[in-house]
Order: sequence, then structure tokens, then C-alpha cells
Amino acid sequence: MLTLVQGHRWILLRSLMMGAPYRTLWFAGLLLFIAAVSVHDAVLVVLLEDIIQDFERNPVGCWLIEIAQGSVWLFVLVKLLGTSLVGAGQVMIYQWRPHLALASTLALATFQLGLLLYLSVG
Amino acid sequence: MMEDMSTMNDGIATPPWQVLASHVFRFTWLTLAMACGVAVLLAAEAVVLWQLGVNYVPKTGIATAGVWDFAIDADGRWAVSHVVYLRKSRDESLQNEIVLHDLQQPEHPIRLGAASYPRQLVISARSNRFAVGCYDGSILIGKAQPAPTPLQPLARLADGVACQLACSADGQFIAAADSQCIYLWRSADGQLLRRTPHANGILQSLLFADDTQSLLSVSAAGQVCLWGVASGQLQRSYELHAAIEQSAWSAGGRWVTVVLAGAEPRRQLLDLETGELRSLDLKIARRIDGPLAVSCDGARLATVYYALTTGYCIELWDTHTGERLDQFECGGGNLNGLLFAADGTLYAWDSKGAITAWNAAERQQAWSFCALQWARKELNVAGQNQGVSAFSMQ
Repeated sequence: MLTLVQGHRWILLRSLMMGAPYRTLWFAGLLLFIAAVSVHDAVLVVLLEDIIQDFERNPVGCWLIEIAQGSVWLFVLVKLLGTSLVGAGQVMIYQWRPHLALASTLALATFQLGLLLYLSVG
Repeated sequence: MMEDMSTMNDGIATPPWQVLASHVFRFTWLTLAMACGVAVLLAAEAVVLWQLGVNYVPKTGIATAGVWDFAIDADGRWAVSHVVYLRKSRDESLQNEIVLHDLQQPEHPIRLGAASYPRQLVISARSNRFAVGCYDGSILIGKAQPAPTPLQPLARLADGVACQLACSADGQFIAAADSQCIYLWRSADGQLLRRTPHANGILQSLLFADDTQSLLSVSAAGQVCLWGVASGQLQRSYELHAAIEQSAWSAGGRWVTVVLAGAEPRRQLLDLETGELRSLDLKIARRIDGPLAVSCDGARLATVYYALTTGYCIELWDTHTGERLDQFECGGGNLNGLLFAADGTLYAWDSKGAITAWNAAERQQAWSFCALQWARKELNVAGQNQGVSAFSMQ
């Protein structure tokens, strides 16, 4: 009986959280979060331009700063372009396999949350 | 008939390149749409940052720290250092701190506060007075004591970049020199006692003799001069007939070692008591890769040598025989300074934030200070106690 009630609740919860309209909302929200964290990171890179070479942990970022002779414009451009490409890719996957897209977007959002915590807490 | 045609068209598969092209087109369109969304987010963040003035950039991380100057008194009790560190912050990311070290309690360095771009530190040999010369021309004075006291402004010169500073052994006088004049102040009340014009151009260094009767100067043009403190007159002058690239005084000011410019830079040692000028012919030919220091008795010279295999090394030489007595490896940072204290201890400070004291006789490290650890700890404590605004520049 308990299992039946729990199962019923889970199905109810799932239908509320993951039903088609909610699923789209979740997906859009997660995508927005991913883009917002990426933009925030890019803004910090611009603001801390004079010392970013000491702080930057991303080796690709360091390399881009190096080939731009210490300037961060190339790094920021590649970063934001990459965010746009990933977002577009996620939307295409969503149109093909919504569950798969939601799972991968959730994983990306978790990673971005970690990045946001690192940027905020230090 | 029409129905039949429609059925036939449905049966024809779309060519794969058309499918691919439509996907590419959709992907491009979506990428552009996402880029627009990113631009909107960027604009929103810019509005939040600049229009509303919200400062949510973390201030907890310190990436690097370096020690740029260091001075120690004759007793080896008090030392003062200039620590520079970088922290994650939107504003004032570069911090210049003056730190006082009580070497009787070396585990508790005393933070004296931020100063605007310090350039030189001097400490009196036998009193607790010290002074800080800044790039903006301001001169600050302070007292070495266990309770931290803020630095007091003494004067402001027009040219801080070319300014050299000295503090008398008894702490009564502070002297500074720019490319035109030598200034003398009484440190107790900050009164300017004398302003002596000189024709030596930019000075390399300035020092009070141990008895406070003379003020010693080395000019970049190649003159070593002794000035009377009481009279302000030039007492003696030595012409070295070459531009001076580097100079270092021994504690007390009896000896000065200079590096003379030329195709082959020459090191020379001048004894100001006898006027004897000696060439320092070291047994191992070395480049000059950093600062140098001469011991109180003029018998030992410390130089810096860089090798790819070992990094920076401090080498200790006998000034009479030219033999290398010892060498110490210093790690990865650029050595910013070397100093022989009156007791013979050799101090070295570097761009990685380390101050290391070497006891040359016993061949061991006598004391060390890590500015990076200190800055991280200080910033956390100040952030908890007073909030991050405690670190704003004065």
C-alpha cells in the first residue's frame, strides 16, 4: 500500500515536473542559467583583465590570452561563441530527443553551478 | 489523379544533402538566436554592474604576492617590508602593504596598512624609526613597536621616481634626495632643516654614516660623495669615471660596492674610511643577474646568478681573494633585493613573496617569511572582522 502511494506520488510529481510544457520550461531555464553563468564569467574576465593571466585556470583560455598578446578579447569572443554554439546544439538535440537534451543540459547546468560557486566563493 | 500524384510525392525520399543543409541552416539560425540571447544577458550584467553599482565580485582570492623591499635595523630586532599582492577584485586589485616584523615574535607580522605605491623602505639602525618613500613623491614615517600605528606623512617631493631616502642611525633625521637637491628633515616634528642643491644628477643610493655626521650618496653618473649633515657641505667626493649601474652599501656605510657600466661591467669596492678603491675580480666569471650586497666588514660580497638548471642562486664571495665561499639556491622567484645585516645575516627577498635570512657562518636558514600565506590569512581575518572595505587603499 505504501509503495503504491509513493509510486502514485512519484508519478504525480513526474507529470508535474516533467510533463511536456514543464519540460520545455525546465529546459529553457537551465539553458538560460548556463548562458548567464558563462556571460558572468566572461564579464569577470574583462573586469579583471590586468590580472587574469594569474587567475585563469582554463589552459585554452590562457592560450587564447597568450596569442592575443595579453588581451582578453579573443578569449571572451571564443567563450561567448562557444556558449551560443552549445545552446544551439542543445536546442537541436531537444527537438530530436527531449529527454536526452534535458539530461545533458542538466549536467551542463550542474557544471556551470560549480563554476559559479568557484567564481563567487573563490 | 491528383490524389495519386500526392501519394507518389510522399513516397520520394528527400535527398540526404538537403536534410543536412536544412539542419545546418537551422543550427546556424539557432546559434544566431542564442548569440542574441547572450548579448542581452551581457547587457543586463553590464547594467547591473555599472548602473546599479552592485559589487558582487569576490574579494577572497589572492593569486600572487611579492616582496619588493626590505630593511632591518642593526640589532636585528625590527624589520620592515613592502609586500605587494594581487587579489580577485573589480577595483584595487593590486595591494601595496607595509609590514613590520618583530623578529623576537616572527610568527606575528604587524600590518601597518596600505600605502600608495611604495618605492623604498629605510629603517634606522639603532632607533625604532623607519620611513617609506613612494612613487608619488610622498614620504611617510612610522615607529616600529608592537602595537601597530598608522604611518604619518612627512613631506612630498615633486619627483618620487628618482627619489632616494635615508634614515639616520639614531632616528633623528630623515634625508631624501632627488636629481637636484638633498633634503634633511627632523623626524620628530617633520621640520625641513636643510635643502642642499647638488649637481650629481640622479642618485643611485643615499645613506647616513653610522655616526650620523655624514650623508653618503652614490650618483648614477659615477660620483660617491660625503656630505656634512651639520653643515650641508660636500666633504669628500670620489670620481669613478664611469656610469654606475648598481650600488650597495654595507651596514654603517663604510663600504660601498658598485657595478660600473661598460662592455664588460666591472665590480669595485670602495672603502670610505681609507679611500681605497679595489676591483673585485671573482674567480668564476659571472654575469650580473640581480642585486648585490656587501657585508659590514667589506670582506664578503653577495651576488645573484641565474642558471637554467638551478634557477636563482645567491653566491657568496671573498672580496680579498675572489674565491666563492658558498652558494644558496633561492627557488623560482626573481630576487628583488639582498642585504647583509649588521650581524652578518644575509637577507634575500623575491617576487614570489619570500623573505629568507641565511646564516652564512652556520650555513642554514635563520628565518623566513611567506607573504602569500600572510596576505591570505590577513585578508580573511580582516574580511571577517571588518568587511572587505578594510582593504581599500588609503
